[in-house]
Amino acid sequence: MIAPFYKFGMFGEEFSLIVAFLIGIGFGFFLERAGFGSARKLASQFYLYDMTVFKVMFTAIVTAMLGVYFLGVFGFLDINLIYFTPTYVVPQIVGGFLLGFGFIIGGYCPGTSVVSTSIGHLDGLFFLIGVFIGVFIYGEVYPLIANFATSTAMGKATIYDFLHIPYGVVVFAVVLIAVGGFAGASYLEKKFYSKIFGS
Amino acid sequence: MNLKNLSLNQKLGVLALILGLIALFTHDPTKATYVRIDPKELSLEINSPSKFIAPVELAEEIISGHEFFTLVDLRNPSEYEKGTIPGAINLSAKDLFESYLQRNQKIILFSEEDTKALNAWIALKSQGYKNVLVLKGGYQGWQNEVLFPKISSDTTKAGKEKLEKIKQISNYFGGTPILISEGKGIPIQTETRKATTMQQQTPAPAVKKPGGTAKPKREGC
Repeated sequence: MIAPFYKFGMFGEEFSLIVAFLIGIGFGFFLERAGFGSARKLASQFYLYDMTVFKVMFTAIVTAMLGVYFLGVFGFLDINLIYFTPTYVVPQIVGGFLLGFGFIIGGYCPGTSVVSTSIGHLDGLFFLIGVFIGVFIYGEVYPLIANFATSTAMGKATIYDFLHIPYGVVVFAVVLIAVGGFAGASYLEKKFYSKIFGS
Repeated sequence: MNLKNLSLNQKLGVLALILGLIALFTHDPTKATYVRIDPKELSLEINSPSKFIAPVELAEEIISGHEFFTLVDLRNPSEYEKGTIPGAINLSAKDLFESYLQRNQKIILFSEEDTKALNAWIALKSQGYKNVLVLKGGYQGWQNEVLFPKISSDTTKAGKEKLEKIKQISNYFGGTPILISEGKGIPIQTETRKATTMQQQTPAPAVKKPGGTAKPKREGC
């Protein structure tokens, strides 16, 4: 069996939705277990005294990256068939800032607001309603900003193609950044926790 | 440094570092495609006519809009701009593998004639694309059989019905059937459209008709 299963025709579109649903449940479960159903936990990231968000996300990135890479090396996964969100440099930087502002103001990102709502937090529910309103407004004004939203297109962009370095080197570099990041995050947590709450 | 003194997180960090180091020395997994092809099956398919779809059949599928498929025009962009089959996307044979075409989706290929499309068919098939068809006769076949089909008058009831169907399909795509009488082709006069000569007739422009082909699937979050 070679993955991605869907693209090799092992199941159809309808079944792929069930698979996506199950993966989504799993994703939500682990987000909740990491404490991401709480806006306090998420917001503390920005005050540098609790770097759980950074650590969990970077752990997920490193785990997925190593898994995908070695499954590809051993021939269980055809990496060329994995879907990449196309890159639009400037619109995605602007979008990233918008998401960041929303994250700080509302205390959630879209995924964690669903987690928060599902464990019964009212602030999460209001955030989620806001997400839907935002999606609706974006859909309505899209024709006006379509030119901008599709500008600076790079298509399927990868770090190793862009910098012309071997894929394996990028994997190693990301692991180094992550491990260094974990150490740095722990240092920041100690420093800012005592600064904010006293030792 | 004693391994037993490390916390679980630190052990996992060490493991990630080791795997990252190994990654430095492995071959690039993006350079390999893993497809299992049955050579016997492929050679049987190459010789079978089942890989073809007739122009009229394709026309009916586009009109009905029941089935999702991607129509790929392999001709030059300039030819594509002049006129193509509604819903077709323009890709060169080189671009086929760079595009979003997926191994499990229905793909119909056509070029000016059969040869180029058949080459692309073999290329896609040998890469494990399952459901690939070639438009019989290519774009010329489309023009001859769908846009400007040559028909001879038939006065029997079955013949008339068949004629009417051909006329409807042709008109749907903006064409006109040519009536053959005494060796000369005369465009048929229809109610909806004034008879025009072949030269003036422009084939359907390269615009998408709703329901014709599948849109590229949206993925990601």
